[in-house]
Amino acid sequence: MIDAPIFVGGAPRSGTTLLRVILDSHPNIACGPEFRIIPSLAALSANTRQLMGDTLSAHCGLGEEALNSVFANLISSFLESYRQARGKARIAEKTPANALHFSELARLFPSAFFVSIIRDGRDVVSSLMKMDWFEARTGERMAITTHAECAARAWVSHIEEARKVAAVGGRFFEIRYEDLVESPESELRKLFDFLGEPWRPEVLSFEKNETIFVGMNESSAQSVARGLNHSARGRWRRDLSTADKTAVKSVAGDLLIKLGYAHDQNW
Amino acid sequence: MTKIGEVAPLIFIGGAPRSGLTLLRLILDAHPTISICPDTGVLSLALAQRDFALTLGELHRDHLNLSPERVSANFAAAIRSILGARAARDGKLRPGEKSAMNVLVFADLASIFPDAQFIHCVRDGRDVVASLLERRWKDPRTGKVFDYCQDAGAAARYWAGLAEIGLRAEQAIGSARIRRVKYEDLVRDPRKSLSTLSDFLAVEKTDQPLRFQERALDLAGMEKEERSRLSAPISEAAVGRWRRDLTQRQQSEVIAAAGPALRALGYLLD
Repeated sequence: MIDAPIFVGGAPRSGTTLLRVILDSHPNIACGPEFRIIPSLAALSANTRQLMGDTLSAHCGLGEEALNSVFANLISSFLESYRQARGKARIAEKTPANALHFSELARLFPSAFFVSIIRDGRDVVSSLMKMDWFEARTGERMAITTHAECAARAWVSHIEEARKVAAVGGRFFEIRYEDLVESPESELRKLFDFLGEPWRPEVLSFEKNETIFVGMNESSAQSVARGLNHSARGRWRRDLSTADKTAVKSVAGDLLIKLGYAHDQNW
Repeated sequence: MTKIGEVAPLIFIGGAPRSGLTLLRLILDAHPTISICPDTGVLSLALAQRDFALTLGELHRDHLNLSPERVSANFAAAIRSILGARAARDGKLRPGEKSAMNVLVFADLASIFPDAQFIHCVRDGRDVVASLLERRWKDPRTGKVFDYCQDAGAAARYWAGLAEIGLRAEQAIGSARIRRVKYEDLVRDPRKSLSTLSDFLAVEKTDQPLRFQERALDLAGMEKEERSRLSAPISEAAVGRWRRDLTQRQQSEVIAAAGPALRALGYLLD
């Protein structure tokens, strides 16, 4: 089983791809394109324990720790395979929805590190509403790209669920997209310090990373290849309609204030 | 016969509920070599593997250096760890699992485990309907009793759907790896059924499994509903119960909904 994996997540359009490319640019860390499998395996782990845990323990000789190992080993098999392919010491995996499963992953990997990237929810919503993302099973547009309320709810849940891992003793680090863009070295020094990795200035040259375009399944690949984007902040002012703003306020108004992105609901 | 040190081929039992699956599990589980887990949820792992292969397999193969074969082997290891725990606990060589819904993933399991063996339990759909109508199983999402426990037509459709899935799985997997066990044969002549299965599973022939009631029955989850019936001597009393338990109208509804499946399984000859 992998010893101290790094799980990266955050609401989509919060800078998750930027962050993973930066991590991958560190000589000790492999953080390739999204695997997209860990959220469903973490959910399966939690559901199996909740629905079948008692049966497995009482009738099948499989206690909770052993059951957790089954899923930890399964997830590790994906992580280790990629780590070996890249020949690096440590593995990190970014899939935005990982954030929703940090607590379960902490149960399976007690020594793991959890990194959540957050961004102004209004910018996240306005970015989501421009995405051409479709549900694999139905072929329909994803609700988070068509309904502001849905998008806002996703933003809230990614942030709140990620933070819960700290309450269960997980090693948790939250980084702000806006701060990362404004002061990359200062923010990244804190991040690598959290991860127990020495500072390497090459992480600031992330736009040269050779894995940016691998797989072509990350929507922000091209943008990340162009370097830090200083003009995306506050895009919501031009992109969000009044109706969208009302929807966002109803779901995310309080969290925006709590995070210091807004001072009130009068924006 | 599996030798010590070889990884033993897994055994999967599936079929429509009320078709003798639990009875068969208890009989085989009492065999010195075999350990059959009750519903463990491994079918969700098989479904996860299928879903991965369909939606993410290419991505991982082409860009993340992970072949479909490796992924399948990793899911196999996970399933084997779950089922192997009980076999290890009981000192048995052949792990297996019984769950009605395993039929949904028989083909997936056959591909994940190239040497696994499958048992498809079937029963006269009309008797299955009569039995389902006695149950008060509730949908955990709504808290309401399933319609297939209340209405003969719904029960027949439910049974026929699973029977057809089982039949397709039989064809996909092939007779070398899957055997059909009829409830009616199992209760009429359990010794003969056991003998036939022992040949299929390549395990020692012994009467020990038929004495499974000498020990306290270890029933899990919904199996516990059947404790008194399973503790009593195996009896044919329920075969053909549909004649007394279903009204004429219900019988017609069942034929209308499940006629083809009944014919395909040899329960309706006309």
